[in-house]
Amino acid sequence: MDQMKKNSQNKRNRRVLSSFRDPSGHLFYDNSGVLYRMINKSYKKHYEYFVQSGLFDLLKKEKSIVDFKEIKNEQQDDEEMFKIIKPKKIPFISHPYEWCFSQLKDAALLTLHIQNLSLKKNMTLKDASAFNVQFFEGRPIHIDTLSFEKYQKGEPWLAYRQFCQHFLAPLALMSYTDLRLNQLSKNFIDGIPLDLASSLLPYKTKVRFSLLAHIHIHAKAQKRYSKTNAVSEKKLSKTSVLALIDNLEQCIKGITLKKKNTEWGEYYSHTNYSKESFNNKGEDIKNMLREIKPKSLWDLGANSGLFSRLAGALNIPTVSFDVDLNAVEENYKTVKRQKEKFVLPLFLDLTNPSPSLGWSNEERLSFMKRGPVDVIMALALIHHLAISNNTPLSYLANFFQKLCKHLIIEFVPKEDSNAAKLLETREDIFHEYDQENFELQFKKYFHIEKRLKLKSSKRTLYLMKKK
Amino acid sequence: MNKTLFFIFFLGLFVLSSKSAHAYLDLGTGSYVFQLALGGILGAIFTIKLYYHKIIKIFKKSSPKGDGSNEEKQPEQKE
Repeated sequence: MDQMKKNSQNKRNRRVLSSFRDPSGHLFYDNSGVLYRMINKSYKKHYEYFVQSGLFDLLKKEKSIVDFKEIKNEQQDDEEMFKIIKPKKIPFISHPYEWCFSQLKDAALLTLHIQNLSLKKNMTLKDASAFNVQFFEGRPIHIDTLSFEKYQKGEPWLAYRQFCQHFLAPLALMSYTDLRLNQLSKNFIDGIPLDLASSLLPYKTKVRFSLLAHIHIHAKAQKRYSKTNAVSEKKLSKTSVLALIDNLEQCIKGITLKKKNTEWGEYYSHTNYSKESFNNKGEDIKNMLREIKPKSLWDLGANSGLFSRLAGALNIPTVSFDVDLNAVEENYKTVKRQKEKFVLPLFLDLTNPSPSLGWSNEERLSFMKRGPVDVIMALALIHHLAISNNTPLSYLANFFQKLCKHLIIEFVPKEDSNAAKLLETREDIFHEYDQENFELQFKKYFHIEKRLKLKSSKRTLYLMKKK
Repeated sequence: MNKTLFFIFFLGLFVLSSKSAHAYLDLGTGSYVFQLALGGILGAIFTIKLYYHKIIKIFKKSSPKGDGSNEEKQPEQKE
């Protein structure tokens, strides 16, 4: 019996560290890498109410929450265990500091929408972490089945502070101060402290009713009561909680992005390609993808996702990374407008990719740990890494071989006008940067399967397979 | 702007006058207290709006007919 218990527990030994805080249950992988969620007995009444009240079906129908299946588990080997469920797989787990402004805004509005519906079904969201939202088939979706609790008459929204820190503060900072402040969420994984947000926001945000309230005065109240362990016994009616949610929703809807174009946001309109050459490149890439038939693809340096879209059109789940937040924004707007299901635009600085964060550096996985994938596309990228970031070609080859089985990569020589532009204002110290050395370094890890000279261009497109 | 001044006045009054009581909470105490204040105000505004519209409706219903077609049309447009 003990052995059976031990075996059963071993099957659940790969616990996902991002879910350790919640006493209601946790996520784990079985030996074949399938993700499950254990629900504890302490959460039984909330889970049953969540299903029986119809809230789950309602949210599932509108694709606001991830679907799951209950798993028959006859071995009750864990005293805490009530049920095991198998959530539908999300192909790529992204982090809020990798989202553009509109992705964060949509995730915030989804959270408020879910809280609104929950209250109407006599439930409430007990947390409002941005990490509970993921992007699936082009839309935000809530992934935490254990976030719902029965609403107690008179209780305020316990996740109010977390919502302001995870969503409202970064959105306001991106809109009113600087778009790049989305990166603050990387340092503060439980949300941006409101006193910090308050000090970074311009004065004009104090004359906007909702921002004055939810950020500036809220921050002051936090400071005033920081050393108090007890609070007033006053209760809040459900009408008041609904009014608060409605006010937050209006506030978030009112935060918009300044219209600015960055250097790379308009890359395609300033490229040195002819239209014919551009189309030919697209056809070459599509042919390569049809041949490989990948199940996962990362497009690194995707700009606004033109080539990611070619992969998406072939139903290949594609993560479309770029360092320019405006390009990611444009990419996401296209995904929404065209209702694309296979392209996920994300922010990524390849010279300093998302690190592993949180407890034991295992709570939020790094960019590298979320690989490898079947295919990486690195189009018009290598000159930026090699020349702008001084990265040796040997390092680049080693980097790519860690992340993919196939590599579609474009070599951009120094003679190319875009590469030449990078060298205009600096000394050319890149004597090893040529096509011969590029092939030499990449051949250490890859077989070169195709080498296509791009028409009306000095560039070459390669298809490589990892050795 | 008037809405903002109204809000600052009442919110300040509430936050500054709240006393420590018995229920135990975690570090979100300030947020909790603040939410009670803000939620109370927003809920009150919501309720006032609701009753205001109800009262307006009653007056509209009880107002004598034939005072002019314009007066009858206006409330319909509002709704």
